[in-house]
Amino acid sequence: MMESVLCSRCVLPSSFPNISFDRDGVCCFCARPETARQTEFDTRQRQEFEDIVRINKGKFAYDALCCYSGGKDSTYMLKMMVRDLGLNVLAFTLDNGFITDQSKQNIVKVADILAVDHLFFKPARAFMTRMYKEAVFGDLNQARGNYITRISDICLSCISVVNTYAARLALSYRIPMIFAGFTPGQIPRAVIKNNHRFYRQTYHQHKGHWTARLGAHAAHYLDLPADPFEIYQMSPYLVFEKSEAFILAEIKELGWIHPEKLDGCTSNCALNVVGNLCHEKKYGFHPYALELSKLIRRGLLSRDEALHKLTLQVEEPVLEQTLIQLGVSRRDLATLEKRGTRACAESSAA
Amino acid sequence: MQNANDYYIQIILNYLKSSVLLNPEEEIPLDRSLLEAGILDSYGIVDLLTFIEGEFGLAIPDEDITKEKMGSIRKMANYIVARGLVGA
Repeated sequence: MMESVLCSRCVLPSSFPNISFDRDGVCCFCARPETARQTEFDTRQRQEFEDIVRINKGKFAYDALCCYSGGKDSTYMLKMMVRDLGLNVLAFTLDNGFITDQSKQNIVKVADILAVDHLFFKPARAFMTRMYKEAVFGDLNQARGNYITRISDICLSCISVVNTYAARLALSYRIPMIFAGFTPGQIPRAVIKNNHRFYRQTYHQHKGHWTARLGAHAAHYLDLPADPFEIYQMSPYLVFEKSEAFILAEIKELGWIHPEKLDGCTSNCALNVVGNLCHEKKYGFHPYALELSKLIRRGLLSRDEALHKLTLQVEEPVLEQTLIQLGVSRRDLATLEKRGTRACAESSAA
Repeated sequence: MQNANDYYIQIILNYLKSSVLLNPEEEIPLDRSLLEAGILDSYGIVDLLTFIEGEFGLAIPDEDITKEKMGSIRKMANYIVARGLVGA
């Protein structure tokens, strides 16, 4: 098998779909100039973000819901929401069963220091592990047969549950804005108005697919009441770009401590490493390569820092423990590798 | 001569093939919902609409994100033309 070569400016590998390199080893994505229209779009996004915050502040008991994973990005986002934007916030954390103890301590401590109300939501472990396994070994994430994956199958399935629960909370408490700590490579726009009609259209397809694989109970995690209350999905990191060094310095003041025994691309979830591993086996590239490359191009991360993140792995016993908790064996992972290779070969031959 | 609709269809196809799809050789339907065809998920639809907004300098209001107006690549191209961007 040929060794994958990395772009000389970012960390996208030669195995990344549709990539090409110039004679200096610079990939086509780094070589693509930023257009004036894109700059205009960025300016408009920032204006829209600020307008939505201004219009919705003070209208209801809570101004905003914070999807608070306890990782570094969402921790700084929560601080920004409270101290910079002056919002009255309800924070919530989806405990997927793999949040480290240190992360949970961080969450409780930060919520206390910032004086925000906070909720934990822990879906049944049996459902979550089944969902993760279906996402990795089955076809739970239906549309991804030919769709470039920005995040791992595990993360995607988890985020579906987080987003739905967040929307349900926002509807229940009448909270007009939901903030999430997505970074520039993870989501296309800073403000997305909940389009209920569009959601129900996609949900209708999604629901049948999920319940067929996970049982009727799965609908419980995806269903939303038909409620026209307006909600905006806000991703502040797309308009207030912050370097990782800045974020770490800011949250250190809150007493946030980086959990140990995690891979280099997460600061809260022990399952992330399994998602990365499976993604590399199935698709041939690291799921964070795209996002980190975008951060490099925007000057928010150095290439060396990105490389360190991609290569920092957990120790074998830690990985083993996570696999046991998930109910997945090494043999299962080997099967995945074979199936991914066959799927790619079939796809290429088609 | 290429008409405006064909021009926009080509730009959308180029974007999907160069940035979004794992296998750019796969045929992409022009007259079918990309969601229903399993080409994109809901995130991918938002991503594509964001690309269209950035590329053509237009804002797509919420009420226009319907199957009738945006339910296929051809409908998206028709929408761009209808919004007055016919001079490209």
